[in-house]
Amino acid sequence: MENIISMRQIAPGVRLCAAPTQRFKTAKISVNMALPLKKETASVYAVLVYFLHRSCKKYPDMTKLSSRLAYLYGATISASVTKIGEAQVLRLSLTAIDDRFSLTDESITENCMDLLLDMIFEPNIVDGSFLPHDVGQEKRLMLEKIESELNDKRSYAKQRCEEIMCENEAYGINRLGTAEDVASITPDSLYEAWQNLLKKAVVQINVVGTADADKISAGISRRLEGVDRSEAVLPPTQIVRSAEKVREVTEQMPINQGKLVMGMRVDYDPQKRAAFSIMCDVFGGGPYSRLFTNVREKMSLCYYCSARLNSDKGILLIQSGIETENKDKALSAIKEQFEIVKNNQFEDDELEASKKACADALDGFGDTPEDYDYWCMNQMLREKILTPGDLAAQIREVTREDVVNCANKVTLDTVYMLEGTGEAEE
Amino acid sequence: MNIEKITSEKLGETYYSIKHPTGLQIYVMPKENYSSAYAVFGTRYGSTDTGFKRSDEKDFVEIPEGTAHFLEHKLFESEELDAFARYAKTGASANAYTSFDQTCYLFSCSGDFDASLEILLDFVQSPYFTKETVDKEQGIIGQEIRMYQDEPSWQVEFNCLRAMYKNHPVRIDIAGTQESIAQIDADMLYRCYNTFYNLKNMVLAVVGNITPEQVLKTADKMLKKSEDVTVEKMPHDEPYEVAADYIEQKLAVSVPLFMLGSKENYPEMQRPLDHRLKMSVLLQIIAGKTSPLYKRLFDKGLINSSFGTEYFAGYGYSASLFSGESANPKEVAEEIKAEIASLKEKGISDEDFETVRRKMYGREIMGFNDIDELANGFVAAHFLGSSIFDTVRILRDMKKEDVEKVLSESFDPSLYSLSVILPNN
Repeated sequence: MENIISMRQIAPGVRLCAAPTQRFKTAKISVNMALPLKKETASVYAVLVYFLHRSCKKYPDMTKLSSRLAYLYGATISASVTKIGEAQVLRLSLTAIDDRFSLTDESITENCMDLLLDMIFEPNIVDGSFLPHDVGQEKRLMLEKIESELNDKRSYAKQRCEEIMCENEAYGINRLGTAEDVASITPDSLYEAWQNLLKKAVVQINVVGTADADKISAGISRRLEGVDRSEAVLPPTQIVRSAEKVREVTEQMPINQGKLVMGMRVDYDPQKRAAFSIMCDVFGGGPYSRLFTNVREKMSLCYYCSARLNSDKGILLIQSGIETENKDKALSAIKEQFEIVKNNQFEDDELEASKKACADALDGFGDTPEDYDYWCMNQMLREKILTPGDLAAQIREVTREDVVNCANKVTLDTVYMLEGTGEAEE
Repeated sequence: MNIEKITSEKLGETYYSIKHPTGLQIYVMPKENYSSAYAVFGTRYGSTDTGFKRSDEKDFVEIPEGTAHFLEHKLFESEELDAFARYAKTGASANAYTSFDQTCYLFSCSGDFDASLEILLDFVQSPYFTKETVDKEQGIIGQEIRMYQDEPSWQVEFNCLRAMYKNHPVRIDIAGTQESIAQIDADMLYRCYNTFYNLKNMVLAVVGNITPEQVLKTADKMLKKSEDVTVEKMPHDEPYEVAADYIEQKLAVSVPLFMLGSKENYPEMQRPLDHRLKMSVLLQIIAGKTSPLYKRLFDKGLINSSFGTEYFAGYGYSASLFSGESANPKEVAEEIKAEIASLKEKGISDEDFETVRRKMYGREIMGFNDIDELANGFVAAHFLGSSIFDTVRILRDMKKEDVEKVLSESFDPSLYSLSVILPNN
């Protein structure tokens, strides 16, 4: 098929990753900006990316900007903050329909691209800083966002486990920072963060679909003229290769279902990406995995029980929602299933099912622009970007020995249990 | 066999509508340059079908809440290999979902499509329920129910539905309750299966790197002729009024959540697509991101980016919903009601209408990228008696006056219900 990714360097620490294809009806452009994840700056950068996406010099308030996007046939520019390894990635992502669907002659994509670049490079600066009212609004929104992280118990429990397990590593810092640090942001400190972002962020622009990568590349080069980019480098992510002993932490909340999260350390080798991912998938990936077929289907202990590998940080997390009183039963069942993988006792069918499902999913990966964009973003800190097809080919070569070897590079570090105290009332 | 080819020049898309001799309606949309395919096999049977009558029987039967969803879980099992184990041989990624008025089984794959479609058509047509397998599922679904009880966004919506609807089963959780699912047994599952999983009551939609010939070859081989039975849904004695104008619950949240519902009453059981789209445009005009109301609430610090609207409609129910997080849900609700009352007086501006119409037109086109959205769109459109090309056409032709007309007929001030989730500490 036409799944080719091409890469070019635009400026120091700025590269453009293009996946041209005619099959979509949209253009997708994302600007991904990575900075070292640090306690002192996490909040201000997190607020910054949402602040930038809400207005710009030309459309100085949210309603004007939203109307402009609506007028451009419902184009969207969304902001988000993620962690890749120990980098904090600020992301602005644009989706717009192709010019061929325009009801007039004007170009939708070009107008949208200008708007996206205006957000980053031409924010609404008045008297050398940002407006206190706008900054205040954004701080309120971020405080509410941080508070509402509690609402999704599944991701809350996962986040707590990561925080506890990596408390002495940068990875343990919340991607949004803390409420206290958000509260202390001023228009000037936010302005300074913006200047640092332009100078210091390692940037990858992804272009998926029909948008003209040359034009985007030229537009960004022009806007970066005169910006000193010599400091745009990231420190490497700290990988703890094995756990010395298991730490157990229990917290309580008035909820019905308890959440068990187990954090494991992985002595990860980037050369063996396919093997590590199949090891994790055989253990706790699809419905053919050890965790699904045993802990859910045979033991009826839960609705979900799955494992996920974070290869940039070298950790593997297992998550399950269970009755609080079943914690020990679930814990030993999960450990038992992992021992089976480690001790080479899984079936050939399970390995084949996993390889087949993972390779099949990767072969169809380019069928949504969003997936392709995420695929490229997730590899932004790696020198070379694999296509989904490249990884699928490697997955088909994974052997039983590879899986067992990888499983033997995993050690349990933290067991986190969010106990339900059952006080949820009607 | 009747095969109709339908093309939209504007969208650059073509699909095939096939009436299969077994009675099954099939839709196939080939997508150029795609490397995968998505298939969905659905029945018009959902959580609100708690009472029904077969055309060959005299009386209505009532079944426990959550039966449609329970049946969805159990259909994956068979006497030999369960469906997941069979898909494991083809590499397809399979799933299923139950909503208020449909149950759908689906898979996506890039290789071995024919074998995966064969599995889908086979297992959905081959029920196998025993006491042991039913008992085992009580634990798994029990945990699914418990999980949703802790999800504030789910609870705020169902509480809102319970406040608006006194009797209509849209007020009950899709998975039922731990008590209701305890009453489900194998016989009951067979009875529901034999009533609703009749090919005449079902639809198959396939989108992606496939051809209609390919789909038909497997369909001809696998589809079994159904009994000549139709099903009648039990009427619900739903009063005009809302059951309650306010409902609250305490959960482990830090910011309160709210949903304001405005109940509608229509004599027909289904709201047509045309009406649904006018209402969706109207809701964007009232409270979308470009509206004065949104800006006012935002500037006052009463809402954040989680604020949104939805036109919510199905068999025998329809309502407008406004939801989000707020430190003061009651004030937000009052502001929304006041804005609607004032818009009814003043009318809608040409500019506001045009902005929202353009936005929705663009968003609809975006949806034609995704094979999963398209396949599920075929199912929804089929059960509604429309085509997936209709939305773009209706939005193109819509007039401001059409929207003003539905505004004048909707939002009876006595039919609002506000649901609030408060922090429990």
